[in-house]
Amino acid sequence: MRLPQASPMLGAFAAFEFKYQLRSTMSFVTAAIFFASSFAVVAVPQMSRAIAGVSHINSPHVISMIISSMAWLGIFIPVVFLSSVVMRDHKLDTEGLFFTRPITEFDYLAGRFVGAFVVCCLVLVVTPLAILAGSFAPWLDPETVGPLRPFDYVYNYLVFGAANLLIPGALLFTVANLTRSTMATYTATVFFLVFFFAGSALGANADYRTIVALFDPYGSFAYLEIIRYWSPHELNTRRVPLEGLLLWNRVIWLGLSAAVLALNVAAFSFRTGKEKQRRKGVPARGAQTVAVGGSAKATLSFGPATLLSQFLLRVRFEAGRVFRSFSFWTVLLIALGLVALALPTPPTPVYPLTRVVINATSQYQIVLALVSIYFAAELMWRDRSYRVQDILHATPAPSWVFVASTLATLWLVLFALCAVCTAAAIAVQIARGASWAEVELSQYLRRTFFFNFYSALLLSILSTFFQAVTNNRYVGMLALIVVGAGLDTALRALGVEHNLFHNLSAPGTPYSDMNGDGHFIVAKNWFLFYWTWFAGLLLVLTFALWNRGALTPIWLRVRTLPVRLGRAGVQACAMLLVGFIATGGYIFYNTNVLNTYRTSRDMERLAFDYEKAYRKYETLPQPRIVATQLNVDIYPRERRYQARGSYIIENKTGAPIPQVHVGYGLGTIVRSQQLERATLVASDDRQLHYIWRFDAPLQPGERRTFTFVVARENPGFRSDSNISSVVWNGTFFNNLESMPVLGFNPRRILQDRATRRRYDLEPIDRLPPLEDDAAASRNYIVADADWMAFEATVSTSADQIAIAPGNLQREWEDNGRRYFHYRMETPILNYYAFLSARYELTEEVADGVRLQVFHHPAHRYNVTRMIDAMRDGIAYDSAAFSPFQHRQMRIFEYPQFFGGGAQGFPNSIPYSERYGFIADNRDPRNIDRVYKTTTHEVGHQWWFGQLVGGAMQGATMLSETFAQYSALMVMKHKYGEHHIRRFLKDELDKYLTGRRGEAVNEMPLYRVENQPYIHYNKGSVVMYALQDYIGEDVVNRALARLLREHAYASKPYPRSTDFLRILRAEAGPEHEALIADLFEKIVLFDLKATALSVAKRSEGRFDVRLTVEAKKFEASGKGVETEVPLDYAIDIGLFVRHPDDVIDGNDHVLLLERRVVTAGKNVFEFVLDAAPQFGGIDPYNKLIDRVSGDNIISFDGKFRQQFLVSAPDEGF
Amino acid sequence: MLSIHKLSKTYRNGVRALHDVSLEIPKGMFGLLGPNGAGKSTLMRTIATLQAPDSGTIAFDGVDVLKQPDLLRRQLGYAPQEFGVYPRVSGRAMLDHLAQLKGMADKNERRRLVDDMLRQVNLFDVANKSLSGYSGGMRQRWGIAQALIGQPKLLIVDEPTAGLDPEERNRFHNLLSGIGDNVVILSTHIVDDVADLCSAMAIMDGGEIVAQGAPAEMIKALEGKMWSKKIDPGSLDEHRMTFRVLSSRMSGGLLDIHVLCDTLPGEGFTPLRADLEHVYFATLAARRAQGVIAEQAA
Repeated sequence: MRLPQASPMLGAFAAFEFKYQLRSTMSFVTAAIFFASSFAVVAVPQMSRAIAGVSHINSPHVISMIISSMAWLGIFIPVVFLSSVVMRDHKLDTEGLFFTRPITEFDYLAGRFVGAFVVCCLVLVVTPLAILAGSFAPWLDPETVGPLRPFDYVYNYLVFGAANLLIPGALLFTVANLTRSTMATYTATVFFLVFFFAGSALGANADYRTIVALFDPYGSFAYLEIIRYWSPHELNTRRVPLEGLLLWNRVIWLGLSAAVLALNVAAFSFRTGKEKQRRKGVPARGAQTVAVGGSAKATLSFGPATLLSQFLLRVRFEAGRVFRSFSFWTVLLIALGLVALALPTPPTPVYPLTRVVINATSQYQIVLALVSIYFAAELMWRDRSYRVQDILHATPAPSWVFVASTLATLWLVLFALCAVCTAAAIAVQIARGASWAEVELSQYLRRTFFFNFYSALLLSILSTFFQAVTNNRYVGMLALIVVGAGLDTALRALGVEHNLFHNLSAPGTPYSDMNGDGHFIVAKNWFLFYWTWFAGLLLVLTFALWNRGALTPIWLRVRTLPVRLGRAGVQACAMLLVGFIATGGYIFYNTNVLNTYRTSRDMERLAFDYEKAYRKYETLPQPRIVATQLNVDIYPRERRYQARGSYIIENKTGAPIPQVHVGYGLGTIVRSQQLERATLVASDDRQLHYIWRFDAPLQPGERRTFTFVVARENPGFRSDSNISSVVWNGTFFNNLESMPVLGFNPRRILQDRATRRRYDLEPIDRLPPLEDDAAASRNYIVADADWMAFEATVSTSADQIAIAPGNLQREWEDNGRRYFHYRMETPILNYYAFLSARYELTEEVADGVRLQVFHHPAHRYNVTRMIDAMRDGIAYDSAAFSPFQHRQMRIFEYPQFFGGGAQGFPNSIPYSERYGFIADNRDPRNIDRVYKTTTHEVGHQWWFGQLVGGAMQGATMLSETFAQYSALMVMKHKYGEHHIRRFLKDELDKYLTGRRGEAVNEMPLYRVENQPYIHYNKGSVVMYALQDYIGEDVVNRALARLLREHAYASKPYPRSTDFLRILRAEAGPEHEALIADLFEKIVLFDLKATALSVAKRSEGRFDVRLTVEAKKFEASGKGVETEVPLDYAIDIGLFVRHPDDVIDGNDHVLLLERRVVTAGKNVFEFVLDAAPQFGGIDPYNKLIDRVSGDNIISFDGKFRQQFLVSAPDEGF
Repeated sequence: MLSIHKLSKTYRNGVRALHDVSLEIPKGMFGLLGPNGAGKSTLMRTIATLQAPDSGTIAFDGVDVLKQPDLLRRQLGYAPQEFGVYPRVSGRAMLDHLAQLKGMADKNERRRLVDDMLRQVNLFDVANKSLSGYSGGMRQRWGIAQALIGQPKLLIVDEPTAGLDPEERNRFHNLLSGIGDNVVILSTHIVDDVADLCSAMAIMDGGEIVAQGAPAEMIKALEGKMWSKKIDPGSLDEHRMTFRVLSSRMSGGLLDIHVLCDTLPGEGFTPLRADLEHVYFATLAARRAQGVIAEQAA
């Protein structure tokens, strides 16, 4: 190898390359597209909101997100500008020109690389410029734009832009140079793109986060890992530091790129190509006599049989080449690799049902899309790149033979990929422990095979079309992307959302074990049918417009289109067009005539109009519902229900009420309604809002009856989501869908701050402040009832069981339908659900309570665990707080497309089939979420079922946080306090992550504004710490007293401050600081073990010295932190084994005691009988600590995790 | 019978490749002679339906080629001037492939024909070798073989002898002379190709047909008008000023110039037998002179 040394030639090559590329239309077109899309991402509010979330649209966070996504999308930039350099010389045979001149390989390679790379950088540099320009768009909401910080652009461009061009650029350039094969280069490109998807699949598993962060070539996952716990304030003001994971990631990949470039120079020689040719040459022979004449007979035929055989010949020929190619096998391996990502058991394992495995292995679809794009380009241009086209195109074989055979080859490739990946998915399912009986082959064929294959097939037609109409394969690919993604986005920005106008799109088919594909498949198939006509039309046009012979500009080809089509072609087009329009018409009839079609803008407008028309009645005194009686008839197969009901309403105010407002959820069919001694004075059928005037005003304490018949129907299908509350098996809806609501309904107005600003509406408070006494007169769920009586009769088809709240009174059959009569014996809130499905029932009676689980027959895995959890929960909560109020406690399974969790309705818990019913809890090391969720919902029977907060800040603390507490306590008694840590760490992680997405202000717990990451996750940590510090019995005493004083209270409803008052009284003044920190402030700790030394004494005991560092911060709602003094008793622990590794018993704990810790360095010394291997501060993560991984240190000074999330103001 | 009427084509870069080209091409071997860049390949590709003209018509045996290219392709054999091949495909396999695309459905018949073709073009011994390893001459012969498949009524051979050594060219001429019952167009810039093979010809330059006829008759027109003289190389310019020098070539240290003149041009000139090369050069020279006059007039 010649030693590389720079010479003037290098500069000349670089300059030549730079000028050559810069002159190309491609560079301008690409830069223009990148500028436009980056600009749009920032300046189109809908788009910038999606990416920026709560941070400023020009925050360092958003800048780096946009730049790295653009670099990722721009993977083709290095392909086009870098790898094509070598391919160009190869193809144009200009190699010889260069290769015979006295120049060095280094100059040639490095020069071209540098020149082309600079062009790549220039193409992408438009992105930061566009963000900058976009952030000055005058129509932007000023609240979403931060101050201009120029260096953010430069920094992020270098770290996530230029570097992310260099890394794939260097690798692809090398692949292109060493293989001289476009196909190999594409394959390498696919490999790069796939890396990202593999990363996102694996990154969901916390165990792999570090690995993924290091091995993602784009550094995106390292970035996300670093900002995991950043607050909105930090996202707006901090650039991600180039340290820790990100630094390592950049070092690894840039180092690899440099190594590969060096290898490139070392391995590359101009002469290699020629030697190869010479070796393969056939020696020319000497003169021989030529025998001319006596030609053999040639019978030519041009009939259909010949055409078919020609088509098959071309398919065999092309497919033979593809299937023998290195690229195909690499792509296949990549796809298989993506399927194999589903092999490891996820952190919260579930049984490997077919549905689960199909979802987990779906990543390989990206390969299908990439193959449809890249392979199509390559196959469509292959004859030309070998320059065989003149000979081929002068034969009488019709054009369609050439195009159709290319397409068929592509389909064979896609088919092979789908087939192999489907087989691999089945293998994954078996490998993860499924039995053959659990493998639902029909589901595989339908979902992983047919849907994926058919969508890819349609995409390949689109892709081929663009390759046929453009005269350059890269322009073809770009056109596809512009039309595929750009047109789609533009249409949506214009408010065109109907799937009829969005390329190849169709409504989803959410799968459920209970419901199968259900009715969803019908809409999907109609849309696929519709796009099939479209694809057919494109196909005919592709045949006709395809370049035969010379490349002709598209407009010249279009001008001769009728000739090119011929009569048969025109007829085919007409037929396809008719089919397309007719199918579209049928779809339109379903989506827009049978159903009401509303875009998201229509919905916004409707909400806006509702607010304009009716918000003035928000404070109008209204009667409240005191009793509800319902007859609900569910027709699962027809996906409809009808409800006949009556409310007894009462004037609970001190003044007469002249009018009642009654509203219904959008889409309700109001068959009839009648208010006793009142007249309907205003009907708004668009908003479904009706005003009744009493003949004589309703006097205080006076009651009336309101009767109604409502229905909900789902004829045909819809364009977007076809999820309807009634499905074939697994109906689930609550009263807010169609039952009448009294008064103004605040749920129906626009909530989102930015959307409200667009409509010139004042922002609304998420919840009124704690001090608002008026708000304490209604609960936070519904305003039109307090605690009310409830009774319902529900009917359904004969094969299903129908459910409503209440204890079952009677069950009977009539006229082929099943009836169930339920009645509540204690009052409930005006929020309840109905379900109907083909259930299997498992039940048990404990302490006089019937514990029932209604489940899908195949989902028996965790039924016993659920019953245990209900029994344990009811036992604990009854003993600790107050008696259980029902005779039955029931869990009902519902389809996963309605959600993934569980809900604690009175004596009934709808529980999704998604995780809980199929969770695999056989490994005791895993968190038992089924037990936790069930005990949480059981806790709601007290904290919601007996006590509910007013419609104000802190309300959800009284229900969600306390339900979490109930669950944690049941678990503490089941697993022991040394093992609750795993739950707490998980809650802590979710709380800290949740802070990043805070749109307005983080609230202290007692003022929580329905923020899940606070009332669930922070709530768990807080309540656990509280009982740990002041004692479980004290907390339970306070909670029991809260119930005694406020259960079923509605005048006024209880507040979080009621609890704090009782707690302070029960706990005593010595815990004042703790209670304030936990509930009334946002406090964060930074606790860290820094050294553990152990020395053996002569008498066999051990001197142990543990050094820790501690800091305490108080954060504002925006996340600005201030360090505050620390003087706290905090757990200090010494262990012989790491608590992470122990799932049972407490033999590993040498010492666990609370010691006073002050800010800064603290040293603790102990004399122990055994030598600890691990020691730490707050080892069980009871306090809120942003870096929970460094609390425990091992004897040799190593932390558990090698790479830690970096905290502010300190290096890694 | 191939009739070309007023065919014109201007490329997007402004190059006028064909200008009002009209030709009647009878059965038999037809030579299209012209310098590089004269528009021959464009004309050939246009006739072969691989490129559309801006205007004009082409008819073959009454079929409008531009409107019904399919019908022409069924009777067409086309050997392009240069073409590539698929890697790792043998000469035989590719011929068989093309035979199928040309409409030969019967497998046995195809095998016989392919073998026959390979023998005719003397590639039988290397038939199973990869095409990409063929030498230039072998590849050109293979190109003829593929064009001959299916006994085309119209055979277009574009620059088949460019880059061939004399021996290969000779072999080529033998091969081409064996066909020619139908319309065969041989496009070339080498006069000998036409002289050896063609019964009719046209000369093309700058996108136009500048002369056409039977070679013998065209030569006859120059009979007695060609003169040769050996001169000192330094005095070439001087002679050019005085005479219509069609060609000059070094011969034994002196320059042998061929001059066109109705009568004996002067001292030292000896009469020369006119040949096709003279016709070609005379035609081109006349056209160039016209061009010069036109320029001067403008």
